Amino acid sequence: MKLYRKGEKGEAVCEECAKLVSTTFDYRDVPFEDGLGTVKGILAAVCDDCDRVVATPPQSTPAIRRAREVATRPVEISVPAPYVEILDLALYRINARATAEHRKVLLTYFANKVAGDPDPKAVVQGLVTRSKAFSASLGRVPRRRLSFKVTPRSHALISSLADAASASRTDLLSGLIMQIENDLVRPDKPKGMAEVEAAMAAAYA
Amino acid sequence: MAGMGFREVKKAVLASLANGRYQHAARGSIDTKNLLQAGLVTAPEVADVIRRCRGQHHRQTPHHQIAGLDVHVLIRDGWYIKLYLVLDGTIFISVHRQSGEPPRSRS
Repeated sequence: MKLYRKGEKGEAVCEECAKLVSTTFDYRDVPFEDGLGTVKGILAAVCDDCDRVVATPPQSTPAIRRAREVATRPVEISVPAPYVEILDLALYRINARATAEHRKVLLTYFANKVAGDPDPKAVVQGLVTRSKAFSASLGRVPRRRLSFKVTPRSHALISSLADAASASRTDLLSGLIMQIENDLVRPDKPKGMAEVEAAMAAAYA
Repeated sequence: MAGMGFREVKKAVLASLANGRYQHAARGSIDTKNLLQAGLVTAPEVADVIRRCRGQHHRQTPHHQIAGLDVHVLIRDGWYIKLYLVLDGTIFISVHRQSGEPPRSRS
């Protein structure tokens, strides 16, 4: 197995320089593209022309993984497939190019909206009741996994909303999807679309 | 490394994954959608997918910035693998699930 070393030369595409460049391996702090943390002091291939990090070798992957785990918190729930379909349909209405990555942005946007209500506990309890009725109406459908990583702040928000309403994270997120369905999917003219679009655009600026 | 056919590309990428002569593209930062770079899938797992690829699973296009450099895309069993080849190995641009569903969590 190849072990790259500081000072070793290589080549890679540098998009900044718009060409294939020679590189030198060196230790650098490299941020994650989504802004959720930085990996400190990993070996990386650096463009000899502009000094930008242009590649990372496999030996830096364990450190990347560890840094990511510290910087983010996982959210994993299992729901009936229609919940994921509602989420994806809402995303499609916002931006036809939205991907599964955007699901967490929409869910945390609505979590923040609920948290801003004068009585978030009552809102969550109402949404959970609605989602339980919806689930009961579905009959036999496949289940899908919703899995994403969020900031510690968003994770704490989701947990606190669920705890305040004595609900599970699954129930809370299912309830939020009911709100998304009500606001963005069911109406011919979705409610608050401009704000949602702005939030999604800001998340991926 | 232009003008390589699918079989040569497949052989070169599998060799890279076996001997460790590969890297992951980073535009000044790490894109967590590259699951191999993020450590959420292993090199042997990616190699298994590539081994199952045939010509119809491969697309080749010129790099949008660099004349003479081909970008290769392999799409198989829900996996999307994008890469280019350099003299000393392979550089992965992305390795991800097309559905956006991540692989099962690894503890």
